[in-house]
Amino acid sequence: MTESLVYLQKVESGEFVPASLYDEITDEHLAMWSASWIPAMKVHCNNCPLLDSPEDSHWDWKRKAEGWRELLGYRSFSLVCDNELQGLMLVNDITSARLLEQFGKPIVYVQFLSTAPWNRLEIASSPKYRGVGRIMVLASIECSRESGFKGRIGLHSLPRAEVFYEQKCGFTRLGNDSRHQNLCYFEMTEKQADDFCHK
Amino acid sequence: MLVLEELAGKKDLSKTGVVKLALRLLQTVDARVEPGKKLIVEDEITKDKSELVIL
Repeated sequence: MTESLVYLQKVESGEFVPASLYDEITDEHLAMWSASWIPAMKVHCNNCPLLDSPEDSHWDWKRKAEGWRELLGYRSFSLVCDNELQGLMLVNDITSARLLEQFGKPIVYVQFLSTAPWNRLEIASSPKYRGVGRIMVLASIECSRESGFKGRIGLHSLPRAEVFYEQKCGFTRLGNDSRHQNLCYFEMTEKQADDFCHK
Repeated sequence: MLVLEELAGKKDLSKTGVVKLALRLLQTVDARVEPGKKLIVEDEITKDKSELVIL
């Protein structure tokens, strides 16, 4: 397992603080998820209408991580700051591009990406850290480059995250995918990945 | 191997990259296709389906 130094921004002070990005979701990370994310998510979901629940509130990261742990084509990432789990991501590098200009070429496909409940405006009135999503997208681009895919990545976005992927990250929107819970599919080319990394 | 060179060009990968990708795919397919399960290729427009036979 590799640990990389990254920086998250404290929302309250604007200060950038060091964090650790791991290229694996370990049992320790899953224990942190179970002990901190689940209770925080449950408290929020119990106090809001069902339709307002976070779209990923039902994701079972333990099952997801264990289901793909032994497979070479799947990689998981975890982000820890101040001894707290701040983000989780699962990607695969066995998917092909759909965008016409890179159709059929391999991409890193982001299967699941979540930030901790206390970092979300929809849950916490004053979120703790900013930048988890950006770091995870950068990690998937790096993963794509390591695999020889030149930064090409793709994902299906939950509806509330679409603006982030399209406007903040610069993905190309390819429309809703009826075979994938009608979620919108986004893809990033080598050029878009370079542009995002230099932002 | 000509096929390896063709795939490397088509996939925009090195030949080593193609072999690594092939290994990852084979392991994934092998793990997913158990007795009683099929691997199907579907034409998005015509909806025609064909089964990939995995040995």
